[in-house]
Amino acid sequence: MQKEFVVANDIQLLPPFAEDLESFCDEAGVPMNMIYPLNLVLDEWLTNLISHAFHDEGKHDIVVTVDVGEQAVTMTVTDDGLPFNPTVDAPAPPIDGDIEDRPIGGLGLHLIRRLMDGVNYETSPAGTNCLTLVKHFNTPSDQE
Amino acid sequence: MKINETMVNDVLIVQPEGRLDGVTSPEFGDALSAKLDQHKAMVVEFTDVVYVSSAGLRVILMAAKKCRQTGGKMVLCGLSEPIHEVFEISGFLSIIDVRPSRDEAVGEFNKH
Repeated sequence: MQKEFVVANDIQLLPPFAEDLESFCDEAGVPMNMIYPLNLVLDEWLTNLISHAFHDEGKHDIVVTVDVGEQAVTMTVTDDGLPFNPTVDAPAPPIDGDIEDRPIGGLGLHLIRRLMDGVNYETSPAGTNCLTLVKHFNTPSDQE
Repeated sequence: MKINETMVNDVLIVQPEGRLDGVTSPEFGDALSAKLDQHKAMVVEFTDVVYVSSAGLRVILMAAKKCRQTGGKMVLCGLSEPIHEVFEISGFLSIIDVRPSRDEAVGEFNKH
């Protein structure tokens, strides 16, 4: 089962998008314990895009596809903002040490990397960026 | 966002409702910070929180840093399983006191 969602670059649209995504995943038979991480990583990435990728005041459509396959859920997010590769451009935040050593921020991308089994980022000559996120059903990371 | 408050044995119980995301977290952060100015003993109960993103984690971390500076104490309780997992993989369980129930959270303030 596959579905395409179009979300404009307005953070207020993310909670209703999360509801739509949850309904679709539920309908497609995605287990409840997987829906939360899928929702979370899309929220983190879309929030990031909306906050940092668009430097004009204009409206930008972000296209999200969700494909529920037999072994995995594959999601893509395509935008026309400034490129930012989360797999190489973002240092991992320290997740140990005392309270004073913990930076405020940087956790969103950490959550994406930790909760997904595959993260791939590509930019096209046409100026669009596409993040692909893959989460397998019943992988060891689900039982952690 | 709706935030309920109760006092139990001189401990302020703060109970936010709904989602702690990029939309609601700034408001919740301001509220939490203001309450920490008045109360040195606080429990944040997550029973009615259905979702926490990194924006919510950020608010909790800022509150924990503030407690460290001002000598306050904050204990969390009532985290659902997926929310607990988000705290765990963010490394928060080693710096923030998280208890299963409100009673256990309040009990943390009676220890000497």
